[in-house]
Amino acid sequence: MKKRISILFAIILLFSCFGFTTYAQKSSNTLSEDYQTMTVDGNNYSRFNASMLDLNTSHSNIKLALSETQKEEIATIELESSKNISVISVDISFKDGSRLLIDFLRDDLIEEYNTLLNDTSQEYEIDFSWPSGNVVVTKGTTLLGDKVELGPDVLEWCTSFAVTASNSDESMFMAKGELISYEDNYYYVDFAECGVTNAAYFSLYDYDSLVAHKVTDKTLVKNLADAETAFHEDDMGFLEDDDFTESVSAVFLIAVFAVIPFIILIVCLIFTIRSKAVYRKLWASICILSGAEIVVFALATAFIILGK
Amino acid sequence: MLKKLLKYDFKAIFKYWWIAALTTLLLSVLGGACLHLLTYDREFPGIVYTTIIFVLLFVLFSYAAFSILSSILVFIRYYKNFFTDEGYLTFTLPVRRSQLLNSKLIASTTALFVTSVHCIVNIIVLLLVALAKEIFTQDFLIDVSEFCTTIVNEFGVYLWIYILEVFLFTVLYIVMSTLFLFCCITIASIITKKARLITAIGIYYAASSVVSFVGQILYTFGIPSLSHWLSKLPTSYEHPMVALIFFGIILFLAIFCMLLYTLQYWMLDRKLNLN
Repeated sequence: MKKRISILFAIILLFSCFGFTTYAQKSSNTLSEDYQTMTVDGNNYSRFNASMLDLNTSHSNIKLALSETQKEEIATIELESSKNISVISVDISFKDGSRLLIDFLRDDLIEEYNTLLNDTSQEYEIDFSWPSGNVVVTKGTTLLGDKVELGPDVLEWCTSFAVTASNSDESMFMAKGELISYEDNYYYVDFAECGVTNAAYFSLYDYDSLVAHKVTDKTLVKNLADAETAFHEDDMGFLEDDDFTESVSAVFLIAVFAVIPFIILIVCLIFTIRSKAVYRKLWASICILSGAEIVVFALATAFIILGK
Repeated sequence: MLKKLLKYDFKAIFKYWWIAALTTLLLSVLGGACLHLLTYDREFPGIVYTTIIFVLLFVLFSYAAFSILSSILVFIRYYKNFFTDEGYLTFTLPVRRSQLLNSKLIASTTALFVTSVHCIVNIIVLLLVALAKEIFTQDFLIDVSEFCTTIVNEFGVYLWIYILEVFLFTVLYIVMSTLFLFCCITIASIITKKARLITAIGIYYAASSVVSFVGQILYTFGIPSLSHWLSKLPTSYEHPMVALIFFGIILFLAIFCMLLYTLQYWMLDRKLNLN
């Protein structure tokens, strides 16, 4: 009897939990039928063009309460959101086979987004990638020097680095342009001026010519040159002018190209003296080669040490 | 007498080699034609694409098979001529042991070198047939001419030094590889009477693993450090230093070749017991 009551109680509890969960899942998050606005957790979001933003979104558990019309039209809907849910990306697959990819920005961030998009007096970052933290920060206006037209030679053989801007809490990163380094000069290609609407698909190789601004601010040019030198000299953290690693390499090279030939030289010299005709010639030739190897190694080492 | 030995060694090695070489050359033309079809704007049926891919894979496989076949011909010649019943006749010939060894070495090295060159020719033929429309144009020839002029201007006299060093390195590398396997076969023949080939393969595998390990350490520690130190030198030192270091590597390879040759000669001279 007690057992039956326990089982009954467990079933009632289970269904209660299920009912409560189902009730709790009834969401207040909505998407407008024209797909221009949405509401999530009490915050309003508006549709915007995120092609210039580095979104960095990941799968989100946000559940949307769809209208009856939307339920009839939509097959699947997937959401991704950025840090702090400032941006939400929505991927809608419709039952007729079509697909819609839209991005929404929280309304309180629209002003920050517009500042990122239009304000050239804000701070821009030029990212030299390696070594880590190799970033030059400057006002956008310092990049806007005299306009020049860059031809195919420059665009094909230059080195380029990304120029970005971010908002105050670094929740949004926008691609503003490319910094071009060519023959000790720096040029800035502004995406807005060139009509680039999607930074992800931008490539210098797609252009025969581009209008850019030559960077003339001397302090900025020096900072860029220093950062670029560090970028080119960086060995991705393997050597980093590490004395220990250099010492290990030096010991290894000395062992292989000096010590071993020296040992071979001594041993073969002994064999040369003690051997007869044919073998004497063979040992002698090995001695000569070992001696030559040691001389070449010594010369190379001398050049490297003197050159330093 | 060395000439006669060489004549028979070349005959034995190239007896079937030329058939394989001709086959790969014809397959290169076929492969080039298939690649050329892929560059068309037309849409072909799926079965055509599948056939083309299979043909290309077969062509690539034939290149690998040709290289392996050449090596097998070389080493079978060595093994049969020294360590089988034929060996009794070989070692009774009125020639010195060094001449026997030199003949095998010269014939094998020549065969492997010619095989390498032929593989490169095959690839060039394949590309010429595949890209005939783009290659046989005046613009391409002008681009090639400009590229060669740029290279000559960039390197100057050091271009010829580098070419010579690369040639020497290639030849010495082939000689070293040949002697290495000769030594493995000879050691196997000395230590076992049965299953000599399998023992030789086992010894070769073990020894080449050790050599590869040392080579890998050299590559991991030596080359980056060397590049790092060279980058700190003045620009005028760059080419002389690279040529000098490359020459040092060639000398090191030559030492290794001579050691292997001496070991091989000693084993053939003192340690071989064909009873």
